[in-house]
Amino acid sequence: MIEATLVKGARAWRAIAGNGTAIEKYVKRKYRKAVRFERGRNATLYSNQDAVVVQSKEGPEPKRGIFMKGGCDLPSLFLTGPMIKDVLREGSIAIARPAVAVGSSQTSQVLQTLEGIPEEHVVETCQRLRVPPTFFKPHLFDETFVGSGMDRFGEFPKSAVVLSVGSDLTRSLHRHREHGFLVDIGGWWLNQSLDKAIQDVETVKWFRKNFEPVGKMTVPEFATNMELIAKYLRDQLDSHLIVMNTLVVEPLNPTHNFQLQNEDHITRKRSFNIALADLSRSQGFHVIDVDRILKENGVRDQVDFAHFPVEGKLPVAHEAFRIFRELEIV
Amino acid sequence: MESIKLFLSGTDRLRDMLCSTADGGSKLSRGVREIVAERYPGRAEVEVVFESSRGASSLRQAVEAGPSQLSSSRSDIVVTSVDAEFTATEAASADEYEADMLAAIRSIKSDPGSHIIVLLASTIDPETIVSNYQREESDPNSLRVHRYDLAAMRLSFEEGISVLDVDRIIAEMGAADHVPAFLDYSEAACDAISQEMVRIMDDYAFFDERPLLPQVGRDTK
Repeated sequence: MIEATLVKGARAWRAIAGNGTAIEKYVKRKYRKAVRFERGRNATLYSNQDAVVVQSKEGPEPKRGIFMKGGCDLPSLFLTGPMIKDVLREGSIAIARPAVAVGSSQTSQVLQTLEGIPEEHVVETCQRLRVPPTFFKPHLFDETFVGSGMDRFGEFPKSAVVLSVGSDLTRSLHRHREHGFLVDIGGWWLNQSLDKAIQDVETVKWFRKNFEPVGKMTVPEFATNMELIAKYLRDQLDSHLIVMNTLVVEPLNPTHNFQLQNEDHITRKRSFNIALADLSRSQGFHVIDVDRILKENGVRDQVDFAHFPVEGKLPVAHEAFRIFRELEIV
Repeated sequence: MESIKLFLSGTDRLRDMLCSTADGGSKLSRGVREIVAERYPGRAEVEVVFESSRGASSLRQAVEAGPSQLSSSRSDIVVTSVDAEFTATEAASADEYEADMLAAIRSIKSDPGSHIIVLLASTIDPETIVSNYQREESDPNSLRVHRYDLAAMRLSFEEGISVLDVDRIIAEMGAADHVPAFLDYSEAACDAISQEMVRIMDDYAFFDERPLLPQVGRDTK
């Protein structure tokens, strides 16, 4: 009810003041970080749009953390918060994703941060594309994290890292012609809508001059990248890696003959899921089988592979919770 | 009236998905033959021929060596299914499956009138939930189906055959209610699969007064 009123209010405001005003950005930032809480018998759940912290009445120690980086399918895992609240008896558990993640989650981008990009190489890019310099920092490989808007709970160790294959499947990257680093302008221009960026013709000209398209990731590239990430998280951070696969079928798509279609488009999602299973076998990490869960639940009403309806989110969270328990994070 | 010969090469499960009990299935009161009769009265009738087959290797042998019903008589549509791979005495790899299917498809396509439709399989195995593949000695059923389904899709791209996406149909309906056991589909699911088969036949113009769409594929040699 409150959210519906806010949405209507936002539309009315935009009709008067236009899109993306400074006031709108300020309100969004505040709303995004606003922390709600829910007390349980043994623990309290604190949540906002980017993080969940569950803290037992016994106090915050020991701390365990689940850090997520990926696409629009990851927030389903925030629904594990209430499940954790019901069983947590000691310490605290945080689940968080970076506030800016959609345009920086492809595994090639993640790995380039590990290799390190000199700050002077990205200064202009950060200014032009209006992203903070921290955008190119190796957050995924830090030993700890603080939930966005959850500073008062302090740092949490990365007991587990959750990734999803969605970004590698869909995002097309561009490489800086001189310095070689990658950025993602698909769907969202880093942290702002693409139409907003296109309005700025100078930025488009600058972008064309300085970046070249490298297209979508191949399956072997995905496998190589994911293997490197899995090894690093296991060997350097002692973290469990959990990866969400993706729905491979296209609901209500009546195509039965692919002779005139692009092979990569037809087979891509299934190929990625198979590669992920093979990597799970070789590297020993866990897979949340989103494909199975959504198929069991029914996908007729699903908009696309990464945006599933509420009925699909809860079973995904249940499976994630089961894995968290199996790994003794919860 | 147009007579369409539908040759099914596969397991009893294939027959259950497409045939009424009158035609040897065990689940449907109305299969492909009856749906066509209802929907296109006086325009087309379907003759269903079934030959038991244990997968692509068996189909390839039947096509190449004979004698079989398939090699001895011309069929308008040859239908086979990925699920037959799970009855083979020795599990084929996806590459072996693709190679056997490729040989069978090319042999069948040497008769210009024949079309090929492969039924994919649902990847859902209610008995097995896998989250860490390192603990599995071999590929779980769901992963094997993914590999075969992918191979069949590639063959559609390469050879122009059609695939009936059972995986999608079951997923749309909700596998929890329609897959009581691995590769075992509910009556409603089998009905939806039969309906989809008729839709595909319609797409090829089997029920129209126009030339049939050819299955050309990428390699036209």
